[in-house]
Amino acid sequence: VKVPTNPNPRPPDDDSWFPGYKSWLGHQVMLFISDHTPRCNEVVRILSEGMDRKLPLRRRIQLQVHHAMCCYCHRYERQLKDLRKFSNAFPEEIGEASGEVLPADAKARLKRALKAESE
Amino acid sequence: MESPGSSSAGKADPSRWVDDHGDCLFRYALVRVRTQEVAEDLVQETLLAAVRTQEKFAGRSSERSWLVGILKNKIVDYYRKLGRETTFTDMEFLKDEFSEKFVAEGWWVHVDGPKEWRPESDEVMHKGEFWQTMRDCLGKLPRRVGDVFMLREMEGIPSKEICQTLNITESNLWVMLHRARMALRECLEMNWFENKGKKS
Repeated sequence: VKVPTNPNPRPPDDDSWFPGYKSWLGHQVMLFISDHTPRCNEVVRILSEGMDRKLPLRRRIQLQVHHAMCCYCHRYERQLKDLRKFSNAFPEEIGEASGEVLPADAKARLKRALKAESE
Repeated sequence: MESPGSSSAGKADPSRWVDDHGDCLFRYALVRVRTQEVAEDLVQETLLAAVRTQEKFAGRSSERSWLVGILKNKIVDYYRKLGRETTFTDMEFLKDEFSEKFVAEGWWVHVDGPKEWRPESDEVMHKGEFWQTMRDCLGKLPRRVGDVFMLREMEGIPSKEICQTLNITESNLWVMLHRARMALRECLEMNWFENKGKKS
């Protein structure tokens, strides 16, 4: 059975389970998934929302099914988690690296203010 | 000399806090509020508040974490006072649908889709240069969007609380966070993972 050519070719490192456009059966699975799950531009929005609230079970299943034909959204999901990990660590990492100090005049001003406040 | 952090009998000398914790508090504020003046003001407000409440501080935690706790609240207060004003650049940024990343049917342009990040995130986090890239990328976010991202992802404040603090709706918050994440992901991939990260 003939499989159509992919109008949106996938690069060699694509490791989706059902990328489509290869075997007839795999292609049908891909078409079925794409009929029953949101498109990628919608998936990324939902994935982001999932970082801020718990998604309904139905949604979470849809996302997992979508990932089977789209390693890009799957990567995106993992990278959102990485982004959170980076952001958590960021203030400490960049704060230590910066070596910024409170300027001397600010320190003197602070001490005066504190003295006035405690009297 | 009294050792830092000791909660010896009687009142601590507040001016000692400036020497013991001033730089640390300042750096803490500076990564979160962008300008030096605001950071200095917040440190001052924090220490003044500490003077007023030091009776309540019974040495349950270390002096440093007590002060950082006060500073955290001052930072959230600062953002609350900033209110809900959204700038022109924020609006432009929020309108961007990243349409160049997707084909008309909504799939990724596959050749331009997210790449596998190498090296892995745990390894990346040991590299000083990575944090500079992260800072540059965060700096590209428009102000308001950057603030929201910082409160949610760096401080880990729950979405509901951020909405109350900034007086915005939850869907508004989600749009801002989604765009911020999209832009940051893209920026890190382009400037680190597909560039410096690969070479090192």
